[in-house]
Amino acid sequence: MIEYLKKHIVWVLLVGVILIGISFSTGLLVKNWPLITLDPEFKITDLFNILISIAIALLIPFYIKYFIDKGNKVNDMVLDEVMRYRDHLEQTHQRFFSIFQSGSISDSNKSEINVYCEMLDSKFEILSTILKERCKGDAEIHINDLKNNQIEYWRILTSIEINSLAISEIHPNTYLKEVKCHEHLTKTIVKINLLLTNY
Amino acid sequence: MEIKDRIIIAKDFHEDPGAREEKDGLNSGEIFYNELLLPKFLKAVEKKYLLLIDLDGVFGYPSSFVSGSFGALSIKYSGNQVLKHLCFKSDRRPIRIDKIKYEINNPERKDK
Repeated sequence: MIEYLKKHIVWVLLVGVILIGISFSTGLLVKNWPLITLDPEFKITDLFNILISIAIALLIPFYIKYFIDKGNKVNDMVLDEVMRYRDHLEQTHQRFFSIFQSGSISDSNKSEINVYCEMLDSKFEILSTILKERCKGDAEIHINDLKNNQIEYWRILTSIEINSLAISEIHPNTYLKEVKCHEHLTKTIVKINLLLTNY
Repeated sequence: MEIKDRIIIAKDFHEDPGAREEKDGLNSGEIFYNELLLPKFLKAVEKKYLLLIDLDGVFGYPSSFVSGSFGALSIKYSGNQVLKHLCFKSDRRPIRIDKIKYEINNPERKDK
């Protein structure tokens, strides 16, 4: 800093002179301005009060906007997580349908379905954590709904009706159970989306 | 009740649990039930302590495996008795605990 001042001493002095000139001119202007008359009873604390009032008046809308933007960003983040969960659920549903449609299920298909279920669990853990943070108690009923439906979904997809050496194709009844459970899960996701519109 | 024994499934049994019964495939719930779960559970009941089941370290639990082990135990000894002597741990996936408790409370019958 000192090095900088030494290097630019001419400019520093010039700026100083200009600032003193501006201050002096402003003083003269205010003193001689016909519209501004200073009240001799005017105290310095009154000036602070005015400045604080102006600052508050300017900051309130700014803070309101800031908190609204912040709330929207958090909501967007939660909605993104709901989307990720829904997308993975759809992928699982589509994959199950394609295996059903193919008319045969291999051991690797069975392992693949198990992997899909595990990934859905992972998505559930993340989603439930941020929903609890965002909506507190309001989300509890929906999280429990989602969990119970997901457990039911896992039971269908990895049950003995699928996960046995004797099973070489998905039975239509098992597929129908999957469709029904997938529908329940989708409805719960819609309810979660609706809940988030209140925040 | 105090925890005096534990089963770490990934270490004591297998990292890749499989089907329900032995005839259905590898690493079945039935083998886990006969070789580990049932003997340790009976000991916990007899000595009146808690048996901790560590569910971490395994990629995933098919419901067939859970049904062939915890479900079978629940059918034989009732859900209340099983939950009285078993407790679970899963730091990675807490939903696994809910899944197993759900199976214990609503065991899937063999004939299903």
